Amino acid sequence: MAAPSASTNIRLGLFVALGLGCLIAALFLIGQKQNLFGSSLNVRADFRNVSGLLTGNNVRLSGITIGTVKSIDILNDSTVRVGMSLNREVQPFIRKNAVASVGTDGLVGNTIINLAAVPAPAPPIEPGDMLRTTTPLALDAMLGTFNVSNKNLVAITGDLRQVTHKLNGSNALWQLLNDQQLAADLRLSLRHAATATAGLQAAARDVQQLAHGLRQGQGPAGYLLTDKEFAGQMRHTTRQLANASDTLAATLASLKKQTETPNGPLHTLLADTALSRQLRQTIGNAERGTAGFSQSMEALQHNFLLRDYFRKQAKKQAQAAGH
Amino acid sequence: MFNSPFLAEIGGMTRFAGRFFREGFRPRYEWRELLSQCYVLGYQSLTLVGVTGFIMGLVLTLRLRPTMVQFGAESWIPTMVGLTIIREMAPIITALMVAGKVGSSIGAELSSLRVTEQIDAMEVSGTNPFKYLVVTRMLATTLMVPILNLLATGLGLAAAYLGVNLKGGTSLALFTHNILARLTFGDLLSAVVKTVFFGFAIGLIGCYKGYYATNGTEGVGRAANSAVVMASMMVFILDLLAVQVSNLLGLN
Repeated sequence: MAAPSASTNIRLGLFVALGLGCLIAALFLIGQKQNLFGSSLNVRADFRNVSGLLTGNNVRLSGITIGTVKSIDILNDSTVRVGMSLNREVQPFIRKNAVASVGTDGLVGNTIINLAAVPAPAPPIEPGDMLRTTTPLALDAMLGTFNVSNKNLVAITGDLRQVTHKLNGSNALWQLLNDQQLAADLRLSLRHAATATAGLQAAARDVQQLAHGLRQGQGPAGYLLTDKEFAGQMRHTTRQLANASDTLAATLASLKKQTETPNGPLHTLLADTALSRQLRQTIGNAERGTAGFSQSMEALQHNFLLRDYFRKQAKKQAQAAGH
Repeated sequence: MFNSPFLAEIGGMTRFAGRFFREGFRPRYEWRELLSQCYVLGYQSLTLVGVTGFIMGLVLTLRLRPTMVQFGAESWIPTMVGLTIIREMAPIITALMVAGKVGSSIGAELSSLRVTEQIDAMEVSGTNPFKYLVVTRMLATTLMVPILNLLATGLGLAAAYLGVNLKGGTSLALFTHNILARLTFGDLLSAVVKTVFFGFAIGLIGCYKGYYATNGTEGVGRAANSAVVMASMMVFILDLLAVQVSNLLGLN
């Protein structure tokens, strides 16, 4: 083998340096991504369930990757403590009351930890702080609920199918729906109903006005209903009326007694038939007497002694009538 | 079964590897020869490995595109191609190309030295032929294959970026970010570490086949051929092992 010259050594050196440079650059880039060389901020959070979280998974704040999961330890049967290494640059933006939750990066992506800010004032986070956590939406729980609602949906659609089947089989319903005349009739009836309602409304308005008037004491009925003195007068009147009727009753009673008393004047007048015949005869005689008297008086008027006087009287009457 | 040539070869290779470690850590070191071998085996393979890596990156991207578009996952092409190149494609392509080029050259070189009895002459003259010939070559492949792999990865990713931008456009920043978002230390380091083993296996098999070549000039051809075949095979077996080990270590 020939001894290596200087130029081959340089080429070899370049070759090796390039290769190792590639390696170092790649390692550095990965390290930067995993935040190994920058100063980091370690915080912790206790979860019930970390849903397959692995060491090295991302921690995100508002969707920005700010760190990685450093450790996952089981504390007891219901607590998993997750240690996170966060970029120190984000320290001012994470508050002590931030809430950590386990989520996924897309539907089928990696499990990640999301930090969410809470709208309440709190000092910035310190190294070693314990973050609060929330239970995330578990897919299996969601699917469980979905299963129940699915079953309900099946029952509902089955019922609906029966209902529509029955409706389809009903002749009467379709006739009713297809009847054009019915619609016209219905429209007419409705129009009538509308008119009637308008009338009713007017009537109601009148009644309302009347009632209003009544309340204010207008009109006779209003007077009747609202005047306080009227009630007193009414009471007085009715009392008087009661007195009068009592008196009347007493009078009637005495009258009755009198009529029932035989040989009394009233009884004789009302019940004695002989008296009534005599009375009729007397009245007949009186009639005849007065007729005779009337003739005599007529004859007297035509008597020459009195004739002038009657003429004057007739003339005076005619003058008064002329006026 | 216990005297099968296959098991005998594995045993021989293991002893050979043990001898490499034994002699390799012992002074005196053949620095100049090591640098020379690094130049020949590493630098001079760069063109071949680089072109192959570039073409594989481009072809992979262009082949993947229609399917990904069909699934509406066009934005995932950089991630997918990038991870494929970094984790599997570049190491395997590099190792296979190096096995083809370097494995055969080592096998042919050492076996021709063996059959012309120059190795025996070296032993006689007091030079340690194992140290001078074998340790330097094995060390050179072990060190150079990871570096070739890194450069092939870089070129492959550049080709992938080009392929992504042939149809549709993605900025370099987004492309880089898409790949880095899914890339972990485990991905990169397991890829680099396994290429170290690939390089070691290629050097070991090439040297073993060449060092123990027999049957004159005919043996030279057979040594070169079997070195390539076995080294390529070994690369895949090691890749399988690497997947298992990185899974066990949780690096996947």
